[in-house]
Amino acid sequence: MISAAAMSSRLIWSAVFAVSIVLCVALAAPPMRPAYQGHTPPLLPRLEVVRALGAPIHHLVTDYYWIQTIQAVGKAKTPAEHRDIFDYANMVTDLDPRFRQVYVFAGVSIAYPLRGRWLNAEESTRLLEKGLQHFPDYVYLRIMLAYNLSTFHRQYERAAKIVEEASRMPEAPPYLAGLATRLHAQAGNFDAGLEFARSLAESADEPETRELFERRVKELELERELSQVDAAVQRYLQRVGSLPPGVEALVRAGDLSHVPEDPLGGDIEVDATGRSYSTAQQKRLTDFARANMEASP
Amino acid sequence: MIREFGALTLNGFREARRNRVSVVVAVFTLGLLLSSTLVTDVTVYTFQRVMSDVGLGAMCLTLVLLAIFLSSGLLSREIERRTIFLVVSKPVSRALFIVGRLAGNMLTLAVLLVMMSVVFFTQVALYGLPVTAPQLVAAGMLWVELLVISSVGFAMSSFASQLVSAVVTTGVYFAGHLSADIYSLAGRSSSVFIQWLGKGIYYLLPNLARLNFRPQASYELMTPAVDIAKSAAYGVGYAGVMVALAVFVFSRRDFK
Repeated sequence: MISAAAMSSRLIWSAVFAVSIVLCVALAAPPMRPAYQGHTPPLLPRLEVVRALGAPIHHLVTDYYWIQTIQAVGKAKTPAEHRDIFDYANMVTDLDPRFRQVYVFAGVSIAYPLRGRWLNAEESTRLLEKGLQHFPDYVYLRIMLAYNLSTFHRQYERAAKIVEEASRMPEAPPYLAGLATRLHAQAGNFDAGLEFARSLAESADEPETRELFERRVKELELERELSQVDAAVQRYLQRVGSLPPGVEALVRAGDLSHVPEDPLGGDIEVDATGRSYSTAQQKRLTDFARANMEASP
Repeated sequence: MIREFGALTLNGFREARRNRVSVVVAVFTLGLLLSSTLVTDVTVYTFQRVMSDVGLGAMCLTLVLLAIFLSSGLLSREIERRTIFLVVSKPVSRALFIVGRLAGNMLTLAVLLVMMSVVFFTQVALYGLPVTAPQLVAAGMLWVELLVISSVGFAMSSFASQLVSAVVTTGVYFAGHLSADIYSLAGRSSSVFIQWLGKGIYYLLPNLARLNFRPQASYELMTPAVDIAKSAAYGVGYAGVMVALAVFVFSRRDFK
């Protein structure tokens, strides 16, 4: 037999339970998104805190932020959102610098093209440089960094050095050595390019490869002549106010010491824009460098 | 003595079973299945690594929490419930009692670890991924880590309440994983006293990072067997020190 007091207590608690359930169900809602007030960068915890609290499950915590990086790449539409990828990727690589995939995956996703300019290029390069510190033998990472340096920062000399080092690695694709010589030419560093091309020609096992680099030596020598003609054209233009009618005019005016010889057997001439070229070559060596970087994997 | 030890060990295991510890495996399995389904959807070309980290990480978190809960409350609960009188009145030494209870605890954790590993490795195989030797090493060495944590919990439980034991053991667990940082940070100090203090704390705390082979499992790096054996021996040695301390303290306690 249940007493009246027990009965009323049971009724009260049943009512409390029912009301609470109704409240919970009625007020249940998906996570609220704050009203849009411009872009807010990701609010990441301090690295030291994450390291201390996540020490026993370090890799699980790292993977959590790696998944956040992937999500950031997936939803990035604006330059600021592309910049956020760097924050996440930087956090992941601070937590686990040996997480190789993050450098390449995020490295290509951070830079954002806008009206002919590349935004976030600094961050992209910083992440790739960080990757190179930990993976100096990773050829693909070197190619990506060289691409950033030559395309975004116009640092052809550094790009050439990075690609040249990569071309000596066992798993380097064969085109890298050629690309390094072109980047040297682009940087105006003909001596380094020539030295590298000559050593490649001498050490080549196959006759085709040797022939290719022997031609590259000539192309580099030609590019050196062409750059001297270009400089002479500029001097002539500044002094006279018009372009020279030909290379001979430059020699007559004293801007060139002699008529340059084309190592490829053609003639060196000056086009309507004042840029020199060889009749033996469709495109100048430096014209290839950037196109090749963009075509690389 | 062997008979009494066996009885104490099995009793500890039965008690854990009565406390429904098998629910832990069910929760782990469900969590693992759900998380790996999510992970498959949101990860790109690192699925194997993330899968390994999630599985081994979840196993570690679940079992460490359970080890702290089981070890820190065992002796103090016996004393509070006064069931200790039943044991001390029998021809069983207090040392044997402690070792037997710890063995029961470790048997429970070993059974759970094996069951979780079976679930995890089955899932890995079902996803068509290889079960690697570093993953097996990581799972195996987790038991040694649990042994160290349990022994610390036991040592604390021999003289402190369950709450205090659990809090201190949790602290030791985190500090044990950061002991190398304490060592290197202290080394950077200009004060010789701080340097020695840091080194002292480092050697006093269990070096749990040494027993953590989960990063190697992520990168599929095989550790030489000698190093694994040395780490395991270190863990067993540290647990031995803690158990001996627990025996010393527990033997001197007056339960009147």
